[in-house]
Amino acid sequence: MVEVLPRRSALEGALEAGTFGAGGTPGLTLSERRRLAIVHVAGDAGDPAFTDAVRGRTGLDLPIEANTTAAGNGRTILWLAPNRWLVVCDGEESAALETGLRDALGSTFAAVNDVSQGRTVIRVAGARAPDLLAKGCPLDLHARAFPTGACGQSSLAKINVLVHSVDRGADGGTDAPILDVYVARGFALSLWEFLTDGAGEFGYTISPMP
Amino acid sequence: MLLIPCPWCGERDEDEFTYGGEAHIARPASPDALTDAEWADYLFMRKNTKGLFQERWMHAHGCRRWFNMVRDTVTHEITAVYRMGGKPPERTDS
Repeated sequence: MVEVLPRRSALEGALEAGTFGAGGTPGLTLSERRRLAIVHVAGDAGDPAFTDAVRGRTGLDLPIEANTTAAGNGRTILWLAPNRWLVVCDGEESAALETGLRDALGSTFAAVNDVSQGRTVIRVAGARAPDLLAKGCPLDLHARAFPTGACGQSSLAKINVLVHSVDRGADGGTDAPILDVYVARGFALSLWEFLTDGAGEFGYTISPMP
Repeated sequence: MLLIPCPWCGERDEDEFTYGGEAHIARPASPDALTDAEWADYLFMRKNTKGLFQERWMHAHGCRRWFNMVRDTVTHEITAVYRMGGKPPERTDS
């Protein structure tokens, strides 16, 4: 009999909802995106059987261009490296996504791995969001260089991260810009402390855990 | 600080990369046939170039790909970046 352990956030006990830091209108909002299905996919971008299978299961075209994403139907595919992607789904069981992709790929030369438990996703939203990340990240986070839909792996406070530009507010989004930071679970608490410490001067709100 | 043009990700900060030493050192086809001196030369002996140097870099915090780069060891000027297995560009200086 296999005991299924309940999924626990790496930020449990550390993430405390409320408004903190400098007075006035908070410059940004921090929250954790929970219960995401995150699956790592590797395969040959030049093989139509591979790209068709992924499109068939996710409804999205694999982003072939470096540092771009494809989004729709509550799903996002992020480019990681040549022939490497991260498929992220909100509101879908990660096991279902993993086995679904694996079934769709069949005997195609590819690899599919569920990494949901190993990643923590922190959403940094609000006018000062790029300023906060820029404190420890060498990526050019200006909307011109990092527009809606861009993604990039880099370091943030010396921690390996994947930053996804979800919305830069070009179409008048209220919380924009919205940046999602993907970090290995073991570094999540350390990164969280860096972010909350750095956000103090802007004033920030932490959304309650969903 | 260098701004290094990763062949895939574009220009990124030097902090994101790790250095891999001299490029284009081919492993001998039949190591058994080599003398100790020839094997040691393959393993340890590297150029100490003053000027344009062909070297390997890896985008460790980014796409994690290795690539080759031609960098001037005096001025740090990066004159070429090309993928693994690629041929180094012809020298254009005099």
